[in-house]
Amino acid sequence: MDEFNASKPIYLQLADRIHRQIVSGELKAGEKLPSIRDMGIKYSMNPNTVQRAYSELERGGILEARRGQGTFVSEQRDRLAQQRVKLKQEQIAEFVHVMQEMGYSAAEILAGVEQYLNSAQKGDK
Amino acid sequence: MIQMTNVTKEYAKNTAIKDISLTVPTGRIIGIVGGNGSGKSTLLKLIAGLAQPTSGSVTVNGEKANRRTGQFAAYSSESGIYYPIFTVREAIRFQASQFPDFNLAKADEIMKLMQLDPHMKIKALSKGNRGRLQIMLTLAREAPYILLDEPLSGLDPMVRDAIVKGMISYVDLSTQTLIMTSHEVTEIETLIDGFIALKDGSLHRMADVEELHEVEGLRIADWMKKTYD
Amino acid sequence: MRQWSALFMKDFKLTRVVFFMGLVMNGLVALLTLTLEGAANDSLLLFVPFAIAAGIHVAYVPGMVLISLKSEGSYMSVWLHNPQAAFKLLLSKMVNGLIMLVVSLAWLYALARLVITPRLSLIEPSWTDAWSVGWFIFPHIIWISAGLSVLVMFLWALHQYLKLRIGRWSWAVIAGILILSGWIYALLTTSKLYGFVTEWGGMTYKFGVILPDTLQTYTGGYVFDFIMIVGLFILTAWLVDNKVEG
Repeated sequence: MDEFNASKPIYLQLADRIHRQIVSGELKAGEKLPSIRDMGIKYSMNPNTVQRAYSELERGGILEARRGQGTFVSEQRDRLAQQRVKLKQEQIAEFVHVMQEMGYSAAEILAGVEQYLNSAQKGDK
Repeated sequence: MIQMTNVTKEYAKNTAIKDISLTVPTGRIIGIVGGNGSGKSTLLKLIAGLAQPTSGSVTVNGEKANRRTGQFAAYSSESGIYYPIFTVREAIRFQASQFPDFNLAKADEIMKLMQLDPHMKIKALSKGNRGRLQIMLTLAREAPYILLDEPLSGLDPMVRDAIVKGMISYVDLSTQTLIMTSHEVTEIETLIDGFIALKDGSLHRMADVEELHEVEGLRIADWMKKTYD
Repeated sequence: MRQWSALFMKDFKLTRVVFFMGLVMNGLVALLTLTLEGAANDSLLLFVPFAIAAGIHVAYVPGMVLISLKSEGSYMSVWLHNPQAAFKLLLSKMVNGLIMLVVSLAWLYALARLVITPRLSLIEPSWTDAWSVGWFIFPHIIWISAGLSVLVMFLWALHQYLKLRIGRWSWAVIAGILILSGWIYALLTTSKLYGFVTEWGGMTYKFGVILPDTLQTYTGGYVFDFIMIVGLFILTAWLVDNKVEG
């Protein structure tokens, strides 16, 4: 439970999580997802909620339900690529919004991000 | 479907339930929440037909709830004590002999998952294992309603996790409805579809958990803190 | 049937320790008799402990049923949460008590025979009479014990209901009901109407030396008691089905 927060419906948080796993490549195109029940067990989550998350992603064309076989990651790669861009835009928009609210200018934000990424890269090495 | 109409339950010294009307839809997991003495257990017993309303009516699938409608509802009490003279295996056999909807194969499976020793005497079981046993005996019944009174109370996190996973694994929401009382609201937040909040025996609120998240941006625990003083 | 027999086995397990203790106590009665024999000279004394022990058996089934119900009390919801009708739940306890009573009483009689037969010469004249009194008493103990067990179940069920509604006053009400119904029963059985209804199918018994008076029983009396017991049993089952809570 601690992994989920209250600001957003749980089914959307689960949908986001699966979405991110697809974008990151953790879940590959055409890969089978755990059954609704197994997913529920994994996150101690109500199967109805898992169902809603899956449905949400199916509507977005990211997942595909195949009758009698289960739920799969879509094989429409362009669709996934599109989603990858969309998710990036969303995250950036959220971040920029918060930064601007706190009064940072575009230049400050840009410089901050650049600096952060550089030092993170150094830290990696 | 479970329907309560103007239900009041009075005992010698207190009124446990005050004029509650509600309908519990099928195919969902519902949590009954509220403080100590708010009437959670009594509400569940009324649904199980183990308590009779002083006034008003409780129906289960259109039939007046009484001892006999218990065949539609698998009930597990909070006191959690089963016949201590039995071994785990004997308790399973006894339960199977009493309830036609008891699925022995399912019981075996849950027993293994819960790592219960079939030859252990129940009186020798630890509190955690009794909780596991109780859940196993209840979930092995393929009854339309599963009613659990404080299934997580007083158990350590590992046992609680095993029990929650057991519920998800062995309750089939396409044919069953699960209603549980709990004061561990954070623990059941992702597990339940909806909740019935009681306050001093009255219905405080009945809502979907996601509705609370979406509209008010609150967890049940936060909401309770906000509205229960 | 499998459903009920499983219930029956469970009820046997709940009270079997008490049952075995009872058998041991019967043995102790036999030992006591042997000690008495050494101490006193009157050979008739041989019968006394056995007669008392047999008499106490009247309380056997009600006692067993009460112990059984008491042990359900700690997990009442488990007992009540059962698809079988209340009369079957109650009958399981009662039949258990009855079987245990018959075994215990038969064991006591066998012990009595065992103790008394070698000393038969001492008590020759009273032996046959004593034994036929014994045979008369045996079914009557079972009969009365069964009837009392239904009364006990009824009072227990009533108490379970009343304690939810009026709390600790329940015991006072139960005692009141008991005294009142005893009084009504006494009034009823001495009335002319009762005599008119029940005094048929008469039987007389003579037990010679031991009981000089003849004993008169009526089949009608037994039928009357039977109807009362069945009525009370049905009422008890109704209480458990509808009013007792887990």
